[in-house]
Amino acid sequence: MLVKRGIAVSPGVAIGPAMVFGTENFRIPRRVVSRDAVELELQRFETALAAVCHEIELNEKLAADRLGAQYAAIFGAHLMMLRDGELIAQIEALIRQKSFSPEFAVSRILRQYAHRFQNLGGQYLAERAADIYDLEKRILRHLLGEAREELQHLMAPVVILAHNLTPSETANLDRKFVLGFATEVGGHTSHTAILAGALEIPAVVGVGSFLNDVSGAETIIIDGTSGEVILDPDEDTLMRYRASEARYRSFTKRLETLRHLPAETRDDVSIELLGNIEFPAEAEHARQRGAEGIGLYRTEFLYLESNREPTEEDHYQAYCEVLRAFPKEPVIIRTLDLGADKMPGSLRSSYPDSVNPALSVRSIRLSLLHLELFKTQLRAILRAGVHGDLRVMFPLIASLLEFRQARMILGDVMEDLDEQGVPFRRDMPVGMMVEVPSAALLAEEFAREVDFFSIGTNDLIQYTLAVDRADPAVSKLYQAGDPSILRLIQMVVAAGRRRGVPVSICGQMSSDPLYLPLLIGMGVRKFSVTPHAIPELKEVIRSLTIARAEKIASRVEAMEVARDVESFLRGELSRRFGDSVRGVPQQSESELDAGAASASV
Amino acid sequence: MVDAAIIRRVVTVNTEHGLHIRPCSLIAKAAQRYSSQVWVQKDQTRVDARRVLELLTLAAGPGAELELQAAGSDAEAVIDELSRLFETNFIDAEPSPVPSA
Repeated sequence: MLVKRGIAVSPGVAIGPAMVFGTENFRIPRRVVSRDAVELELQRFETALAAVCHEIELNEKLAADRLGAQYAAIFGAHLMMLRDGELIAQIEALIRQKSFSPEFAVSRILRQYAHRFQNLGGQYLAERAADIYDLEKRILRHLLGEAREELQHLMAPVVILAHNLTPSETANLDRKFVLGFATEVGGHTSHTAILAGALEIPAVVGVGSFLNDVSGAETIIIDGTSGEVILDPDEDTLMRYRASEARYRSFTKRLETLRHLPAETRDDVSIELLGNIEFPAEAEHARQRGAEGIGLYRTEFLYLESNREPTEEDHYQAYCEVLRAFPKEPVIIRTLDLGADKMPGSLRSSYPDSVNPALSVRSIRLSLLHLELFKTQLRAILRAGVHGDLRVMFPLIASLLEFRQARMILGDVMEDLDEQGVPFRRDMPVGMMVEVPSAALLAEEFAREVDFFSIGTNDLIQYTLAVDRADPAVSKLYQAGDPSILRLIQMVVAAGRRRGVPVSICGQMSSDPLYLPLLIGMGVRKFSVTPHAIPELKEVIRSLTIARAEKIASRVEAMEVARDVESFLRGELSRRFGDSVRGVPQQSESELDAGAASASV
Repeated sequence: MVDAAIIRRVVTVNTEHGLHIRPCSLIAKAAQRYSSQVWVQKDQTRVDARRVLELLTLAAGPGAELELQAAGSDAEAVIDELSRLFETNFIDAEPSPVPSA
């Protein structure tokens, strides 16, 4: 038994056989293909083979240039092996006659050779088996592609262990068969983590190097609440976790019953709970969880998914899909929020990577510099607006001038659409994210011009406390409960109230049951949260009175350090709910321990 | 193919590491340029000379005796070329072999 610890990003317990996705290991997704797919599969094999040959030719040339002809000859020999007509004929025969998948056929034939070499004896030939395995890997890599298709062809429940999963891989995980996953890299705010939460798959990321300790198929336990990953558990541990798995299941069942109950305090004040999403497909999930609309639709994936820029039609189709899940409810689209660290393909080269991405061209600044990109998105938003209650929101606004510029461009786009006779929503509400302290400080002024505020706490905390939470050296300083953060939020809420501008909170802080009573007490009535947190937040809301929430807020107002705020709120929560409301895991155990230790000093 | 039409010649492997990957690929490359059927036989095992993978499975070490066989219109020529490869220790055809591969 081996216990590893990582960052818990999606609660729940998963117990099952390990399936390892190393960077070099490929799992053959299926042995056979359907009869009528044979021609297509043969073509797929040919394409992959041609690509591999091309790749080897490049290696041969590279080796010739750098190392000399005799080294290049090794690649030449590899090429000869792959161009062996009889070998290809054997593989093709398996595909054609037995309907084997190209992956399986390639692996089968090449491994036969590898085994022959190994059995012939002698160091030299045994080493040639490695050449064969290398060729096998190269072909499989081309056949399976970057998408690691096998993730989509699972036939039995497994726990996935990988160095990393891309967001789109995570989004496509089949919840029927993926019990949970653990990755070596990644952090709280990585998109993979956010998606795991949305899919409600127990997950632990940032475990550090551990794949070498796993051979595959042994039993793995993933505790997405504590962050533990247990390899090859002993009987006792297994029993303990099976019990906790069952407990967790009944807990989520209970939350499920809250789905159709309104999010109202005990004294009948209703609190609006909206969902945060990244992919259009998540909208339906958010609705099922009880979201009353979408408070934050992050559109970055349209740009990051493929190397080409999304067309107006791509945008339009994505927005319409979200509106199909919420035809009457508010759906708030945040315009492109990418930065120097993540840049859509065509723009990547225009910015040097030596600058500090958090303080450089990102988000609305990027959009204002690349008007064509911006206008394409705005056109699609305005057009989709006729199908529902769509609203637009600009991210990272730091000055009034920026907001006015963005709004003016929206006006230009409207004029264009008007001239072209394209239908669009004329009275599109225009809001802004409050993520930069300057925007919170000038909330009064902004409130005269915006239709709504949405406070993005993730960036607001980063910019106010000067902490990058992804940096382990300072991540402890990243504290949502810091009085400075609360005061900035208070300023925005007050300005909104005076001017009649709705204020919502959409950072991760709003998905945490810990802060919910406080924020309600401060006057916030609208939250946009990770959909899977909705039932739990509802439970907290339904146990609360406004009077109690306001009392909590006034107690907190007098506190001077984040530590006191957090421990007070934690006490409140556990007094009311015991251990049952654990919240979206936000902090690792060690962070909690550190807090407790310093409190007792 | 009539058996009698097969042309045979015995050669000896003199390369330091035997019939490793580079000599095998040179034999295959040469054999592929001819229309004749070409085989290499070691003891009871006979393989297609145009196939690198098959040639490797002969596991012919230094000093091994091999029989080259060819059948077809240009059988003589291909046997000549292949024997020359063995005689020159596969050096002339390509730059010097990888040291201590």
